[in-house]
Amino acid sequence: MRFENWRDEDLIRQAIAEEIAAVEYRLEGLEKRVIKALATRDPARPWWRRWLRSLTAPRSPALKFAYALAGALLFLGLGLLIGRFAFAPEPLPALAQEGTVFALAAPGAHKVEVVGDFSAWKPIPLADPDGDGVWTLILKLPPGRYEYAFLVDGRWVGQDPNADEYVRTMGDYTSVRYIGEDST
Amino acid sequence: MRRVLFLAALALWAGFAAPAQVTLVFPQAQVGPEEVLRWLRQAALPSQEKAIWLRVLPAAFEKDLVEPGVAQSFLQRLVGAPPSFVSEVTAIMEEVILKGIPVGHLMNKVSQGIIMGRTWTVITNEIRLRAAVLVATHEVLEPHRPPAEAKASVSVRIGAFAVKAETPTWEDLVVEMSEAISDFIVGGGDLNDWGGMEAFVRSRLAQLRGRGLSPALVDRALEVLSPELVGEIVSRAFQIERRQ
Repeated sequence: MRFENWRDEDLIRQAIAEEIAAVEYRLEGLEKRVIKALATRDPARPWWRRWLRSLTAPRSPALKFAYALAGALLFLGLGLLIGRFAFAPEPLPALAQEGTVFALAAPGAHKVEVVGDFSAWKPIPLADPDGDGVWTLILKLPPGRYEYAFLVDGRWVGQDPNADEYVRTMGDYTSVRYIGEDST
Repeated sequence: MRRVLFLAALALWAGFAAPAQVTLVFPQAQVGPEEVLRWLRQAALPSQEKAIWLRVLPAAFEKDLVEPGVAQSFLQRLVGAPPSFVSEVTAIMEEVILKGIPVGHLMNKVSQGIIMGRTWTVITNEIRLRAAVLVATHEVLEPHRPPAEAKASVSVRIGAFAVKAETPTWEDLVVEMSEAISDFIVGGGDLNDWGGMEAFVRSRLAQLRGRGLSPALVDRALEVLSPELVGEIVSRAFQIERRQ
């Protein structure tokens, strides 16, 4: 549509601007009101689903990344402290109630494994969670006689101080444990 | 803020869970006979030896002469080994299996030798000796076998892992006795010292009493055990070994 002259067009623009200005107060906070309405639109939904949804719903960043990182590190450190003192590793005799304990002092080792006829000589890794150089593993074994050795960073260690006896096989020592019905 | 709290709670849990862990393992993942045979069919083993294994293994599993997990671990280690080694070890195992004697511990010895990094010759020589002693022990002890024995097994399963515990049988005793004699010889014991060898075997069996072998089985074996019986086993074993 073409207007007769520019004056008519200006009058129309002015009228539209006045109309918008009259209802502008209703647009204030519209975004927040919509988000709030969406969040509460289904009050019958279980609280945990609403909570899970709130974790994944898009939102404006309210916390600086550096503060969040510092907070996470603080909590991690707190958790490590609690774990270190409240859940200190049990002494070996207590662990023996769980099964057969395999333990080897190998400070500085990167990897310690046990191999034996109980695993068809496939390596099973030991763990040193507190970093004191004592590597441990508990195995549930039925009664019997078991031959085994440790692999410390791949090196054969056939004489376990906790073994019941040693046998020589193929030119090297292998440790032996006897497991009874009630013993470990 | 809630997201940060959630992450913090995760970090807290990870923190105290790390030092509190106890490594509790059930050593052997359970493998079924069919699974082993299926693996064997596509394994990169020499065709002649593969055919032998496909023929003898089903019977060995059926008669409980070897656990499938042990057999698979052993066969996996043969893949890539020199054909002459595969051929010799297969021939030794086949002979033992065909006599109906448990072969699992011999397979385990092969696996042990390989993980120890021993030469193929050293492994073959030791397996040949142990197999000969095993067959000789089986033959010499056969007249002393108890009339009948019941066998039961219990499988303890947690998750993917399982440990099979069976009532020990006369064959288990034969294996333990032969292994004791072999350990004495391999450990440098005098072949003609039958008294020393008998004492070594007696001590081993006493250790196994109630710990892998039933007291009744051990008592039966100790009744018949003598330096002469051990001497007969050794003499027969070396005749067998010379024939191989």
